[in-house]
Amino acid sequence: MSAVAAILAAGTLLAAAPLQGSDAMKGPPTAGQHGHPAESVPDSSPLGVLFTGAITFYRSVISPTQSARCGFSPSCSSFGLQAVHDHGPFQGILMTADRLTRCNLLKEAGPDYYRLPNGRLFDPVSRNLLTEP
Amino acid sequence: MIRIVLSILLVALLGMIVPLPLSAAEKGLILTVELQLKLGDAFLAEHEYYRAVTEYKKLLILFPDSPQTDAALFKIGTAYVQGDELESAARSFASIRERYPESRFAPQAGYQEALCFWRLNRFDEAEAAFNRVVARYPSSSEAPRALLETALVSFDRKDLPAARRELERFLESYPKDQRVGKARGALSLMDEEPPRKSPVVAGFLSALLPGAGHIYAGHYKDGITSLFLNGLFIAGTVVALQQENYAVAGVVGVIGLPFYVGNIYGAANAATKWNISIRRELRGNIAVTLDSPF
Repeated sequence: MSAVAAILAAGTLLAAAPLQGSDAMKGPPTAGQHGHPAESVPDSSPLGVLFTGAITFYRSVISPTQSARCGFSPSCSSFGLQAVHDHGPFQGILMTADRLTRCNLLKEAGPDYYRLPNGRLFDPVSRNLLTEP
Repeated sequence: MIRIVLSILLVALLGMIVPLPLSAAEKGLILTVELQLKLGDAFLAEHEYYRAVTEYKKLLILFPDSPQTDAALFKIGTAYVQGDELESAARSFASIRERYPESRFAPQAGYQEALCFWRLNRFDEAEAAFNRVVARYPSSSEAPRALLETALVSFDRKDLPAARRELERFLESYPKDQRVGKARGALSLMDEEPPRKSPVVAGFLSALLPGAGHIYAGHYKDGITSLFLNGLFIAGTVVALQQENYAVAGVVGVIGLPFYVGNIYGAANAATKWNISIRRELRGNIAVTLDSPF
């Protein structure tokens, strides 16, 4: 059981991006976007606890050793925390995996993302919900 | 003694004959409707919207029967719009409509009220407000504009047939309006439903071949990344299984699984984003054609 947990933790660690603490606050405010919501109201399901725990561990221990690299705002780790908080662990993890796939050198400003004054591409959770406004 | 009394009388007399120059403050200001409006206008020009609102409201309190109260209410609405307080602005414009329906500001107030609701994404109320302007003030300059805007509101509600109907109504009601050509241009843009990509098809394609759904949805770079990433995880798991290294296969598979399912989610997401961007582009073209404020 602990081995499985370790594997899942390793998997979720990969799903966390470099720490950018205040990025979520720099973007235009959107409904439900308040920085690190998972820290204030933690997800109580085992998968949610594992996922948010792994991201929190990544953000507090691993990420500070590197410079900020994520080109999105909010950063992938903030995105993951918020996605799990707002939409539950299952959809949240899928949304985070999708975001991590998109977070690469090929991304650029366009119809999907606009560039913020800090140079990052604005891609909040609210724009990845499979719903058309 | 007599000299002193005479001197005092002389000075008093001179004071009456030659008034000393006084500043406005020393004179003591008398509040008038015009002065209140002027104060509000000055603050509005300085972008001090809330102070402007206060001055206009003072006018309403001090001179409730003034013929300028409709002007003050309209200016309050304008100040609220500029201060991005759209809800309050709509209320102010609505009070002109209710209290002074014959005011010269009424058509414009009705139009502005509709714009406020539109910006708040309250399409039903926006449409109702535009229609009120058309019905009550059909010969005002705001009425044809309101009809054109109603077409865009219908488009925002994803009701393309209704948007077309509004434009046709405009062409019938105001055939000599200078914007007839623009309305026809907008109608031609609305000739066909904008193309769509199905999120279900995109997800299905990505389930069959990771990244295929992204490519179907026009997100080529994401598709290539997804194909490469999932290919690595799948290949790693298969090779580990072939070598009977089940622990490694388990680790790689468990890490790769969210990325595989996430790739399906991402493909559907890409199709949704494609639909949004196509619709936004079409809406932008229609808005430019109609000279719409939004």
